[in-house]
Amino acid sequence: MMSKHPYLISRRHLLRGVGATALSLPLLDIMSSATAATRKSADQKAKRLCVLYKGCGVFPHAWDIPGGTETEFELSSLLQPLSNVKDDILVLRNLDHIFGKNNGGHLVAPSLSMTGALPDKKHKSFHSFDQVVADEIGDQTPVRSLQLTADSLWKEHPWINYLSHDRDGNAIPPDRDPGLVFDKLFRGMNHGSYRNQTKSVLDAVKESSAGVLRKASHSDRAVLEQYFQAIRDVERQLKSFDTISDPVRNNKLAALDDFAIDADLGGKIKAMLDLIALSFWTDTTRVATMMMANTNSRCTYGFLGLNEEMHFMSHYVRNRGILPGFNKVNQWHTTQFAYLLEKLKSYREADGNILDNSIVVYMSGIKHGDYHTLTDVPVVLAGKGGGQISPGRHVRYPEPTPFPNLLLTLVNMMGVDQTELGESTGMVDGLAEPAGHPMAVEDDGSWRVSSDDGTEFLAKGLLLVSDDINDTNAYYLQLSDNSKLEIRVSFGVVHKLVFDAKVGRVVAIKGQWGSRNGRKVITSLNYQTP
Amino acid sequence: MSNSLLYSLPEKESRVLQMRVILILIISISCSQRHGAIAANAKDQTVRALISQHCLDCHQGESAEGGMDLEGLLESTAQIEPSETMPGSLFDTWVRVEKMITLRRMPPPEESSLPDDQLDSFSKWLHERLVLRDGESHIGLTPLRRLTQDEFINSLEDLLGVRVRNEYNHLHSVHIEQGLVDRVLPVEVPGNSGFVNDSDSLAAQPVPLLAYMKCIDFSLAKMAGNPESLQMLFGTSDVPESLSEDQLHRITNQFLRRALRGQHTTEHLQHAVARYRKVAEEKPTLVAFKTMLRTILLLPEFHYRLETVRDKTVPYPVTEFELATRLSYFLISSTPDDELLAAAESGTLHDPKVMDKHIQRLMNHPGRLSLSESFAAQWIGFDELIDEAKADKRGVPTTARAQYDEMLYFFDELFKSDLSLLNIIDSDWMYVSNHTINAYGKDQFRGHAPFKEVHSDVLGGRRLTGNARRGIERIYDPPTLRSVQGDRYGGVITSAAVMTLTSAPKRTSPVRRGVWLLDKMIGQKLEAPANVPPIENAVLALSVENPGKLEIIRAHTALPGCMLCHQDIDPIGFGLENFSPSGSWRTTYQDKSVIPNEGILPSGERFTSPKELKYHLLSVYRESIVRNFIRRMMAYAMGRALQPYDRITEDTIYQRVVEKDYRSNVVIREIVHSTQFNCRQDEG
Repeated sequence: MMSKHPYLISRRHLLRGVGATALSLPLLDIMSSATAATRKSADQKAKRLCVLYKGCGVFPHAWDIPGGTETEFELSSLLQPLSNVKDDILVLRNLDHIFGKNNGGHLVAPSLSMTGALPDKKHKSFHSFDQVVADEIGDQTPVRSLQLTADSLWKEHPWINYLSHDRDGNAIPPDRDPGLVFDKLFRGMNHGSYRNQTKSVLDAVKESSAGVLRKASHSDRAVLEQYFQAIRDVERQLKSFDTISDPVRNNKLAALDDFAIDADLGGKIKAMLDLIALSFWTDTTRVATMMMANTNSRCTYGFLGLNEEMHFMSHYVRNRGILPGFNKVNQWHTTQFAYLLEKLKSYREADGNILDNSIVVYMSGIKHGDYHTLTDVPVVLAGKGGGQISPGRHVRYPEPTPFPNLLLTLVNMMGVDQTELGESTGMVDGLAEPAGHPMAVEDDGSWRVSSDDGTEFLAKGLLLVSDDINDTNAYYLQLSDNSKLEIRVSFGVVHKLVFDAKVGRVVAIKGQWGSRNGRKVITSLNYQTP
Repeated sequence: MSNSLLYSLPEKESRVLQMRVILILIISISCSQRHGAIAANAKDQTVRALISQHCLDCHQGESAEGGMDLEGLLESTAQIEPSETMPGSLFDTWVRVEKMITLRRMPPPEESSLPDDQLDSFSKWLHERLVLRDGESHIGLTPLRRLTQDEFINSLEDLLGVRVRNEYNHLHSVHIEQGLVDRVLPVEVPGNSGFVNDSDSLAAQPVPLLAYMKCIDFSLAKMAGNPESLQMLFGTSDVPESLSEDQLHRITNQFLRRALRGQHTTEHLQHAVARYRKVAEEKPTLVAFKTMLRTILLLPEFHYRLETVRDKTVPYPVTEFELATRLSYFLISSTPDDELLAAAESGTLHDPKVMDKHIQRLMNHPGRLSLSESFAAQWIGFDELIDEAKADKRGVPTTARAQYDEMLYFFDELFKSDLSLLNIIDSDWMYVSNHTINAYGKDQFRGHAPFKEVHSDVLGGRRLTGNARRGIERIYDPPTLRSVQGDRYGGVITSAAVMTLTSAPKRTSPVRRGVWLLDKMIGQKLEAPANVPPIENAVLALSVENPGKLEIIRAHTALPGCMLCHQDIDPIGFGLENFSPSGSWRTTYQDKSVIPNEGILPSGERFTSPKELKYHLLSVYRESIVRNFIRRMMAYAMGRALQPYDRITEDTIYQRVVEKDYRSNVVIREIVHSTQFNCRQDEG
């Protein structure tokens, strides 16, 4: 049955989702807050930022868009679900994480993607870019930012579960239950009496425990401060809900009487995306991050007919036969991204829609699912960011372009005046207008074997990796005459040379010939030292 | 400790133990501070010579292997007087170095190994620099502990006399569903101690204040409708229409005493009473009372276990109420009950005999289950069987619930009947569920008479019997005690729970199982290698056609760098290959190839069944297994990761536990009587 809002489900469903023990939900108190001030008119053009993350990388050959120009291109198989919104997306290529000596970065990937810097080993990360933005604009909305996850928590390495980190690098635990998030965003706090009661109890707590900090030791005080910070955070939230009595928002809230959640993974993710869209539309928050699958994800996708865990599938080189399944899940994730975009587009705002005023970042922290490569990571932007981005393009940055530069550019677009973020070296171009960068590595005619004594040789060319799933260990060096030299070296060499990070790039090598199945191949190599 | 005991231990381990005993003797006759300093400096030179001879070729300067610059480390360490506390970063680095050297992972096999006498002098030096401070033992800085969510909910329930978690579900047809409190509270992350009650990790996670308020309001609503709660709080089962000044003070004071664990002040009382009065002017008694309780239950003094600070850098006893609090949260994960508070008030709790009585009492308390539900569940990880990501529309599947319960009942039996810790590796009894027994094989078990009662049963109510079963169609029956036949099952490590936890849904991973067992049971935590060659390479290198799983992994891990760890991991993991991903017994893989049931531990012991594997694990690794349990439980009791300065206590407890046949309750008792548990220490 189609209702007026097909994306919403009934309050009855919500209550059932919350279970029989739930608190009664306060009714929306649309007309309360007689004292509330009206909000700034600038809100009509308020910008929103959303990050949608999926761990475990991709199969590069299924992700990368082959050929085309910056504006004329065909979507790759993994991006195919975006065909309806192709004019709203900006596919970015060749952005590299800061990875030091690591060939791969499986555990650190979420942190690299969100902070532009390597976290230290003690669970400590840095200020994530969404929080840099939330710290700047979060006080303009009732809820400063929204953190969601659809995956379970991997306790062995907690930091892989988190996208958002506060100023001190502490992880902000994401919400896991869409029903409760709905409640938090659109129910309790909207109710004046709930706010008054909460405020008065916090006042009493502060008054009664005034002596606690005085009596505590220096180190205890630092820990206790955390509690008082939590009190201040809630007070701030109360205050911001107090000051909103925007008829536009209230009308929108009135329409939210139905909201449905299916309990399986697909239903949960859909409900979370609905919530992000709703909270952007009602201007309840302007910053959201969501983890669809973490980088060690144990999620299974039974509804796609797949019973293997996501992380296992991502190691498709070691585990033959699993690649079609992995591609299927990745395509499904892109479909979720497309769903969010279409949803945001369906909400009108002023003379455009919410997507026009948003920046949505869809990414995975690593490129190659099995090798955990950190170069040319998968990232797609969507939305116009309030007219700052011209989408509908495929931009291939010249190498090396640090990924943190993108984050820095985005926080500036979101109104944060900042010149550094993580390991950034500057801003990226190509977001506001066509960049005109070449769409492939330019062959200057110098890709050739420059010396060869039959055993050892020097050569320069474009490094490629095999796209044959039955033979994923082969690399090739493409030369200017379009011939390819086959490379068959041991893993030790691949590892030492951080080889996978060079795929798609021009390398100069010093190698040795050998043979394999009667073919002349390169069996040992090193980079040429300049 | 007696010589006979030493001889009963495997040779390698007894040598280490002997060394530790000698070290303890050295400490007890340690010289004055000044002499200590000079002696330490002289020993610094010895260690410096040792390290430059064996390590500096690779571990020096900016390009040091693995980023481990030992020369820099030595230099920074030389700057620190033995009387000073070593800064955390230096300390941690030395602990890493120590581990690599004492486990003989370094120097690497291709280099000449460290002679025994040099290893001994290195260990002694580390003991003086890491374990002792100025020649004296100490317990490090005592961290401030926040209540975990479980502790918070348990305390709420006990203070208000209500149940806020979902009632126990007796039905099989309805899958377990999370209750409100489990859903509103965010997932807590374990810290370096491995447990969620880790004070450092709690301090790094924001306080979910709004969720707390929701839980408190929910509890207060339940309290208001529960005559027994009202009786406990007001002394009458109905709410009085108004409270006299006397009544109000008495009731409030009593609640504050319980909620703040004896640490309440007259200010607390005045504030609470004033809060009540203000609301009572306009609203009924119950509303005013709830308002007052809501405030008290949000005080930081309730959520943090604040202890009196005397600013001493040496261990000093905590107060009686603080000790009562430590004991209660350790054994029952909840607030001290009235008897414990009374004992604290009378000042008798520091008396070991009185303390023993309370340990006994709390071990009979239903809250004892937290030792299994929190401590064991987080250690083994069986709490992860109840995983949201795996839940379908109807909640957690019954199989997962049955596997979880098998572990829960096993550990509770271990504590309830004061059984030997070695049962965790292998036991001739097990708890087996009706829902899993067919997968295990019915012929693998027989009935088992109950153990002699040491502590009372707290799980009995979960099984419906007799008339209670009438008319209910699909009852979920919890697992029952059975005796193990045959050579497959017994202990925790071959349980369906552990076999499931260490597998992917459709396939086993011998490496995952081996790594799990080394970490969780033996206490050797291995770091995941940074990069692993594709298995493909190994397969290509093999001359055999269609190699088996074992051959592939062997070829895959044959590199010397891999073998360092895999020689320990693989035999154990492959020794468990007969257990399918869900723990059932199998003799062939899906492709009909036969699973090899033979293996050899790196120390040479051959096994042909899980029983033999477990037997050898217990002989080769017995000391490590027991010490691992002690360390885990100490970490849980103290809410922090263990540090080298805790080793003296660990050694003492270890000896007692060995003397007392490895009985589980001995570990608990010895921890409660340790300096760490009775004392605190402040920063310098």
